[in-house]
Amino acid sequence: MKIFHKCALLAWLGIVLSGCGPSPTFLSPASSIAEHEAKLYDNILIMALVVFVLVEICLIWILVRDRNPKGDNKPPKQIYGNSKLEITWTVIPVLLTVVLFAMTVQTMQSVAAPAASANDINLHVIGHRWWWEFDYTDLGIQTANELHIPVGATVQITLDSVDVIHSFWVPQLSGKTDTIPGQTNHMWLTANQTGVFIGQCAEFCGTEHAMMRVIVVVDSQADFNAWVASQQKPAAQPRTEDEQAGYKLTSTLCASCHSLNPAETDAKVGPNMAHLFSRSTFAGATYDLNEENLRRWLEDTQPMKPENDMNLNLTPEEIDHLLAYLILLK
Amino acid sequence: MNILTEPRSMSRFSTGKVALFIILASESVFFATMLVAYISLRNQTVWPVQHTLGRLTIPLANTAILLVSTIAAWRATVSIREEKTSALNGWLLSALLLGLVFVTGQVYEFSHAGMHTNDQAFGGVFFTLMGFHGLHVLSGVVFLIINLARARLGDFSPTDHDAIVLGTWFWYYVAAVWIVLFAALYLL
Amino acid sequence: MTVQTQIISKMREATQGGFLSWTVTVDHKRIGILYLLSASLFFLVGGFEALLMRIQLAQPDGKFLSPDMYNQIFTMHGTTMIFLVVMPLAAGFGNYLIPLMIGARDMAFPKLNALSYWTFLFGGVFMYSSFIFGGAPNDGWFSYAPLTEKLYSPTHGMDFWIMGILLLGFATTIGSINFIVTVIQLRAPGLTLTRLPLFVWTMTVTSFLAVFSLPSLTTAVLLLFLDRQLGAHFYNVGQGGSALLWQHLFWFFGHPEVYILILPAMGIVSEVIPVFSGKPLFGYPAVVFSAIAIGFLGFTVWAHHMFATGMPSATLLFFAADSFLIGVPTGVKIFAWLATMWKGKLRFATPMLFAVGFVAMFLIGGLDGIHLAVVPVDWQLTDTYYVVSHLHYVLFGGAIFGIFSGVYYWFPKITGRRLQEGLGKWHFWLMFIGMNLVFMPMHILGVEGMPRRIYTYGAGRGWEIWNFIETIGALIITVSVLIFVVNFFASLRKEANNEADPWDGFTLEWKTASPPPVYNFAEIPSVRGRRPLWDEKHPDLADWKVGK
Repeated sequence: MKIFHKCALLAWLGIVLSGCGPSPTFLSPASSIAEHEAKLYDNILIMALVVFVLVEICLIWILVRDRNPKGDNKPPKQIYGNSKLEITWTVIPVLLTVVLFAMTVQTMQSVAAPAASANDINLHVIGHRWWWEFDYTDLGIQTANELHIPVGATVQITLDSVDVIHSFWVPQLSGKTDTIPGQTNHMWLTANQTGVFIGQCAEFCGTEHAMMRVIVVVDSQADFNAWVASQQKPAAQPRTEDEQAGYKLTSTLCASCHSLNPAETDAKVGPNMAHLFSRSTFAGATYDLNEENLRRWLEDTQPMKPENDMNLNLTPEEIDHLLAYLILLK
Repeated sequence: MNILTEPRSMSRFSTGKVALFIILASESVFFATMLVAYISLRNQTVWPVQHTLGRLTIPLANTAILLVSTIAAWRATVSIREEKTSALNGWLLSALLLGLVFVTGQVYEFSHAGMHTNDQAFGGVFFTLMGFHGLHVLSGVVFLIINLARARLGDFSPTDHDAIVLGTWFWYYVAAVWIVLFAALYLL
Repeated sequence: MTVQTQIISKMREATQGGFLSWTVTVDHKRIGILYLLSASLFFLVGGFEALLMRIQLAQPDGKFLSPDMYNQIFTMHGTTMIFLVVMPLAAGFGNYLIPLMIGARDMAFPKLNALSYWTFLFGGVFMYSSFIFGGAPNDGWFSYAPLTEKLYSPTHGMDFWIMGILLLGFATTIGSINFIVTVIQLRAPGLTLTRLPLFVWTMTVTSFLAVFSLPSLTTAVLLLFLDRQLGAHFYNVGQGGSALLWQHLFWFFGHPEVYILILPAMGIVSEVIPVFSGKPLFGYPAVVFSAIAIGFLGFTVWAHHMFATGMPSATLLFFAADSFLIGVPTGVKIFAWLATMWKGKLRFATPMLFAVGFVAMFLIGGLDGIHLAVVPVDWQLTDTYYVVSHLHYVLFGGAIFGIFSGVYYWFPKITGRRLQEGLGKWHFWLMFIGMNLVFMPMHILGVEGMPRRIYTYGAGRGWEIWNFIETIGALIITVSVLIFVVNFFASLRKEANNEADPWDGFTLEWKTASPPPVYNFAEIPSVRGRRPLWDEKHPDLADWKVGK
């Protein structure tokens, strides 16, 4: 069974070190922070495996060599201890802890936040039950659950929460930092490749903790600029009658919790909708954003995300009107 | 057979003393963590505490009462060692009565403090810390009452009066905790 | 006879023997059995909760459990296994064995002992009654504020949790005081502290950990209760409270708690391995010192559970350093166990299988811990399935395996007959395989970004295959537990052979009958060394002759 154990480990190593698959794993780093963390993880894994293999081999050897099931009844040599051996196997682990500490310090220095500069993107992340609010105060943009950043730019992030403790985590870009009510935390990251990176809230925050994901889109500088420009535009205006009816509903009913102002600064219960359809997901980045899913959501949110705060009683006609308007909000 | 008279390798302290020592150590961690909560909350917010001497009259009087009662508890221990049984009863009674006066004073102070548990965090801390201390005083009073009853039934002798000693130590502890709480909540 | 005398004599009769006598017993052996049986029942309940979770997680977008139900179950699973299974199992063994191992007739405070058991049982039942009174606690076994405030947790579940914890804390505290005083005051003549069996040592250190750490938990939950029920604002940020205050208070208890959970099992393994190797424990003084060191250091590492909360670097590094350091005494123990087996004459009865399994699994859990102590790596791994893997390797592969080792080892002493070896081996191997199938892939899931405490997950992130395998593993564990239950009842139905010393043991409990008479020993023995029975059976090789 020990052999099985070793095979499983090798298989695991293979998968994990190759960093293959679509998993949001820091072993497929897309930032310098994740790279440092991955390297450190790998180094420690090697040290751990060496210790593991040595000890297990020793154990197996003892088990095989010294087995005496039926037993001759003569007792084996009674050994009580060996000072030299005991000192050795105390001192060596202590030295190893010094090494580990040095490795820890070094990596912490490598991932320490750079000084603020004018080129930084300043992002304010606010945790809600159960969605992420993103405020780019310098750029006058507010969005939710999906955020864009330009590749290579330093993003300085402040973290807050309006209710309970959440934890902001996009593994391929950075380790996690908690958002704690009453305390503003700081983190930073710089993506070194474009792409879409996913993450999830990592501190249990209640019923729908599982449905509080985050998507980070790393754009080229040009694409990011274009995104910013489109996000800064005011929400689309309705044209047809259907759309007008939808707009009316949105600005009366929905507006009690959701803002249609892309530069919103007031506190709102629900995510900003000014550019809802510029995002690929909704409901805490857990459902693909398309008409079909959104219709189901408007019909009844509870089966899709139980115990969320959105409880409407809309007629099918109202839903049609709403959808007609909402899809304009690109 | 009496479990306590069989041969064994015990420590040189009585079983009761060992037990009490551990209990008091544990209780100290309890009060310490409460105090840590107090100190950490104090750093977070504006603390609505007024240091007028008027506010301190009752707590100061209570401190004096508690300190006097520790003297009574001490005298009780000395009395039984010198086999002065009526003195023992007298000192035990004095200590527990003073303890009751203390608790009464505390209750009076609480009800006139002008704040409640659901005020800012300080209210909660104040009542919790003082409340638990008060509970310990009451436990001490109960201990003294039981000791007094047993004393009157003749349970104690100059060589065998562990419970009296333990009761006194507990009483010292209650007073010591009071000093610390008084300093933390009223003076700092 | 007057009516009162009649009633009293009837009561006396009723409690002399039979079922009712168990409700008023103050005999440490019976109380030990009560603890062991109750904790075993809770083990089945906690295991069932785990099985329900694994069924829910076997596939993405699981609909087997509602989110709230899942959250109640993972909370109760953790709370149960920690407070209602591992701790009382240790208390059960401690109660049964400590007086026997030190040559005493009972604990120092037998009535307090009974109070401690019944408070524990009441606390556990009380907590579970929450399921029918509006819902069980659902904020996780470490219940972070402010999620646990009334605003976010309006049902009474958290109040049941708080009351239950207070009751259980009280039971454990007085139980621990009882253990400590007993060991200090009631040792047989010649039994100096340097000759104490390792199990007694670890139970004593555990007891000290309990009396010094539980007060912090008491404070934490009391303040939470005041917040929830009396409108106080300890953890209420808007009103001058602090969310992190809960975490510091809780983990100041919580970290020593995990050593409370593992030390007794380490003690058991330190008894079993020497006996089944035919040799004394290698480096007894070092093993004792390492237990004390673990206990002491255990109080200095609590904030390694809080590395992601935004603490300053200096703080992070201090706690990281201490957490590395605590691996050293643990390593010393592992090496000592290996050295004990070295050139011994190993017998692989079931107790030894579980003891060796403990060493192998605990090593993995310990190495996981190193990863988690490295702060920048922890920022990726904390709050993920990597932690779930780590904690189960040390608590299941460690504590539970150690306890099963003790169960098979001491079952003959308690009942007068052994558990069947054949079924025992099936139990061990299936549990070993199942356990690794469940928890080894969780390392991968953690590294692949799966956070803990999520009632479901979406497809397409590579997590499906591992979750599925883990559920298979859970089913295998279930079968192994059923085999144990069958073994338990089948063995009890066999006739007792009342062997006093079935394993050729070293310590005093094997000197008396199986099961022991109510007075334990006809005559209190006196000892000259660490292995009184070894000395008796091998006078030429007696420890004291060799100068040990």
